[in-house]
Amino acid sequence: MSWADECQIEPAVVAALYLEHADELRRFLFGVLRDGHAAADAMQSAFAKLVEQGQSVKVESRKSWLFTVAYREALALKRRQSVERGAIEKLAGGISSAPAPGGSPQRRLIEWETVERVRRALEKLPAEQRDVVRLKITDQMTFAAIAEQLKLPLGTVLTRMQLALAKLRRALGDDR
Amino acid sequence: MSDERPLTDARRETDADWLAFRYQAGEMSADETAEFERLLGDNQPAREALARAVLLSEAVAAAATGSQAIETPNHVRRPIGRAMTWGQRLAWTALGAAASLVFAWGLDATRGARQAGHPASPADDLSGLAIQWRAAGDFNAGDFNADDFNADDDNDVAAAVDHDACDSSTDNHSAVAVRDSSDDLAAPDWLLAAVGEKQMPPMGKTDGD
Repeated sequence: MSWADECQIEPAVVAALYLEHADELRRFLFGVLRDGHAAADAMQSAFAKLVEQGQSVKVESRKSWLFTVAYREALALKRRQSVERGAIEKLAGGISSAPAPGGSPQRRLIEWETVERVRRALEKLPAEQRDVVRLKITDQMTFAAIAEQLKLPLGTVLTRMQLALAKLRRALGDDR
Repeated sequence: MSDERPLTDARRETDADWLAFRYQAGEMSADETAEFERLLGDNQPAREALARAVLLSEAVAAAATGSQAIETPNHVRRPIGRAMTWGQRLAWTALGAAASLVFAWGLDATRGARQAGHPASPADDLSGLAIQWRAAGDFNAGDFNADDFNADDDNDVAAAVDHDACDSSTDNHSAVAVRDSSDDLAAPDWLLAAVGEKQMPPMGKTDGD
């Protein structure tokens, strides 16, 4: 048996790890890359490496290892995207193809129950917090623009958002 | 605004989440971004916080824009889809049944009225059939005029079919063309038999006979 074979992990173990961590890993990668396809690519590379080298990783460290490898893949992709985007922008006369802040993802990664839980939590928020959440996440405005629109100090907007997010995160509960 | 009290322990606990949210929302300066990305390189809680921030933003966006915009995993989508489909199916089935009844009643009433006022002759039906057949067979419109049909003479229908399917000037090609050009519009057996009788000399007979 070769060294490579010895390092390979059982397919069933990989499948179990995939079921357990794939959604979270994909979200993490999406947060880094803001591109669903690129996130999927990075995740695929990470799992491919897990298949090849997973046997050498401690069982309790597998999740962290997977995220680390995926993150490196993501950064490499990001650098490539940045270079390509720069070239395209030059060709296109400076038209930016960068995603909008908090841009809408290409693939939604949430379950119905999660949305329902968050919807109920949103309804319970004080109106002033809900407004900030809506403007930030749904309308994708910057905090500065929200402060200007609501005629509030930026700090107040940030505090409202932070408080609202803490409540919404608690609503996610079991998804953590 | 009782909620806007100073944040204390709870705030510190969620610092990673707040940083992660700002990062994924593009609300960090370049320096902060670089710092947070260094953190992501070796801090698993920070990575998980980023995954949570993405999930939260997704869930809020989905909740705000409507559930139909959500792409859920198959194991979630199927039961929901099935529940909705059954309800919709039931409604559509009931609506379809009602519409069928109304249509059938209306058709029956119309036929009754026609039979009472203007009795339709068999030739009417045959003319209609011929019209449909010719139309479906992509006949030359110039060769066809529905007004040429005499409602009192059923032979006009047969003559029209003969004309299209077995024009003597084209030998048997017309009949073949009907079958070739549209298999689902193949001429009926009786028509082919009639064509055969008309064009093929009887067996055993010769010109000299």
